[in-house]
Amino acid sequence: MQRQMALVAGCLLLGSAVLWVVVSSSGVGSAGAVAPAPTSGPALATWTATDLVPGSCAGDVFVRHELAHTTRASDAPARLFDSNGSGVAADDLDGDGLADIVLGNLEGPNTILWNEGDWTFTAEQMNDRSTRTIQLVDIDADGRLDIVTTHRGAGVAAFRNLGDRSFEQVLVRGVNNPAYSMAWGDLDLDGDLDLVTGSYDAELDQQLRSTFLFSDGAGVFQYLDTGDSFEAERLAEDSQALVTALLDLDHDGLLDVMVGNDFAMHDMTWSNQGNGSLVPIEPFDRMAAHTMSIDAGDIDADGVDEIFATDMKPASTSLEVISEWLPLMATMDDLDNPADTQRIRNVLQVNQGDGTFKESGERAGLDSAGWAWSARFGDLDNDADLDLYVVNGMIAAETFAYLDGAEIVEPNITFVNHGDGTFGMESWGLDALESGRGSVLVDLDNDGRLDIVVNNLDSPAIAFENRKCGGAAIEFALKQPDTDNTHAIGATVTVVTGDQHLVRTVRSGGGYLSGTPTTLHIGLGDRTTEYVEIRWPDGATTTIDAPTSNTLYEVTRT
Amino acid sequence: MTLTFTPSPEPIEHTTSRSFPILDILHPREHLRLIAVSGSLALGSAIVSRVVFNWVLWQAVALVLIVMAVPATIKWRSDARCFGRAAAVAGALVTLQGLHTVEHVTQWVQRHILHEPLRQANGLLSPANSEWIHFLWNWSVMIPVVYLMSKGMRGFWGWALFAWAFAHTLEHTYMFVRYIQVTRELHALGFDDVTAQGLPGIVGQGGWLDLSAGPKLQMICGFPGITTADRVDAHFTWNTGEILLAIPAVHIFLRTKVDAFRR
Repeated sequence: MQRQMALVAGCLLLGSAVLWVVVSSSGVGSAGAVAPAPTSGPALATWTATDLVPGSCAGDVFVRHELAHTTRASDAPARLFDSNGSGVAADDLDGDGLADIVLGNLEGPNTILWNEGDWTFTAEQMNDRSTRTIQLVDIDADGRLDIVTTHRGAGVAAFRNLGDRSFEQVLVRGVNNPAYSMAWGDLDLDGDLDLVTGSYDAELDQQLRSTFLFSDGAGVFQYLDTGDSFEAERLAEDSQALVTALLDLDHDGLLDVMVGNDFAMHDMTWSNQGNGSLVPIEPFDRMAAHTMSIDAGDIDADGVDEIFATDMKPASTSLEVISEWLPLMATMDDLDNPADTQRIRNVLQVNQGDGTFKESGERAGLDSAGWAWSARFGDLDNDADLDLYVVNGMIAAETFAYLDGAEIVEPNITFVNHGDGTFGMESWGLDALESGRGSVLVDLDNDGRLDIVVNNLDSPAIAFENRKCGGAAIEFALKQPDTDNTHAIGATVTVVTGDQHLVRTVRSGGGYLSGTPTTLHIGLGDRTTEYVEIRWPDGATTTIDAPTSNTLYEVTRT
Repeated sequence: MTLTFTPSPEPIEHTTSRSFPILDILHPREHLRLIAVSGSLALGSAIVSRVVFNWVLWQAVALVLIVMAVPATIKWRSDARCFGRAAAVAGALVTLQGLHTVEHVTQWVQRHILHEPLRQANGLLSPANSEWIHFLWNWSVMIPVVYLMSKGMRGFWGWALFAWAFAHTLEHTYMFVRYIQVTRELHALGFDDVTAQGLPGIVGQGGWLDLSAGPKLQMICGFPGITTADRVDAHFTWNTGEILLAIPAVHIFLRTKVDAFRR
């Protein structure tokens, strides 16, 4: 008996030693197995590490590249809800290691821009139009990202990635209701991807008229993946959902649902009780009156995400700007009630870490960014804190008939994180005047710096190449190849750099109508990473000790 | 009805405390009946104008102020004879700034108790045109403050009142100029029915400091409300601050002046 025990103990020791040697020897360009985290369920993983090679830098400069795509409205200038424009997504669709771009359109076809490297793109038109949201999600779990879109006055469409840059449209069984915004994630913790959609009833009413009036309506739906189909559950009968997001609001490891509504309809939130059970909650004392975008990011490096939502408030008090806005603002006076929880301005919900939030948009200097659409968090200057990029502008033939082109022209705004809970505006060459709608922050050239793609309305889409100098970064692409959530949507990566815990989450989308790359970018400044903890969607964790800066880690769960 | 009133040609001896001469100067004294009758008349006229002639509130309030201007002028002339011109001006300053503070208290109630929209929480008189009224008012306060300082209302409270009133007047001058400019811009866009009143000034939410201040002004902007208070709160603070500084400044000044007069 004692000999058997000794044999088992010896095998354990030997196995541990082998594992330790493998982990210790892994590094840039090599592959290895990863030791499980000490505190929670372990998950074995292997990784490859690839150098991120910074190109030339040029001070505080982003270089503008006009893209071969223009989102067109039905009329010029845009009327009614065409003014809301279309989204954009970016990720590696063809497996060449470079993020490709998919741009939505209303009156024309969507465009895929295949990234050929060196800031050249090959444009290919998709057989899809009238598009609102675009997200890149592996819905068939074959390891390739598919394209999923929502539509003007309609529902969800999916385009299955067949490899070699070809797609086929497939039916998403069970997903039959009108959808303007959407978000993907594993709500019931069964390992596959579920979906939440929100309708924009004002547009449905305008487009479908009596058909919508006498229909079962729309609203917010949860769709749980049941294997060969999705099972729908209606969460709300009405919505003006310009944005739907899946966020862990109460920090319990489960994705909760947040829907941002237009037209002073209160935003809606549901807490995930597990097993796909959602309970309405009201975690916010204040919210935007016309929520147009939601993005989440840990701006104060305390390990929990803050939430930023955009609304309409002029960013400048110049005579021209105020004069352009005043006629509209006069019509909004009845929404200005201090007893109401809603405000006509951007809001920043600062997570208190206990499931409650404190609205701090004004204190942070983020409350006004013009007619703000997509706002995205990202470390644009690689200084280890999250900045914010907001695209804005409005074209509306009815509302702004008194302006040239019926357009409010506003420069996009870059809010730079001061590190003390406040932000300041910078130009950095990002203050484009086009009427932006969707946007995505993505490292298009694998140089460790976040670039920006903006889908404008009635102007060509723009990619801003980040050539800012200084600051290191680290990137993580997580894969779970033998699961139904191959790109680990919902996973978090925590980079520990001594005093800071930099947390980033894999999400299907964010901002307004836009996707989010599954590769996470984390600016480090001049910090050295002590270790990285990956928390997979099922809660299991993997730790990588002392990872190298300026490196892309492709971590594959085994 | 005919009101008869004969101002006293000689200084009048008072029964109120000498320790608080500001009470002496604010007291109606022999004009009590005139002020009471005028007040009743003004109030009655205002009610009739509102109920019978459907005047808007600011018109009724303006009527009250016009009617009350007569006894007030008589009273202040009497004060000038009793205590000297500077003392009369000091009394008028406290009275009028006090009334103006009532306007801002009303705005505060409209905003925070009645929950009216910011641009509609205009108080009693300001709906006429808040920018013109507050611009003229603040310069009307600034001039007597400077006059009283020239007559000796200095010291800590006098200088504090001067600084506060001057900053407040600058704020309204900035707002007034912008009001004129934005009105012109709106007119050029074809809007004659959209008001440019109620826009932020230098301080407060959306004000110049909030949106334009550079790093050098970070310390100033750090004070609570400097860049976050809405217009109602900001000007409630301006005006309550002004009256709270005016009272001790005038009190100390009058104690000197009245006592000197009596001596």
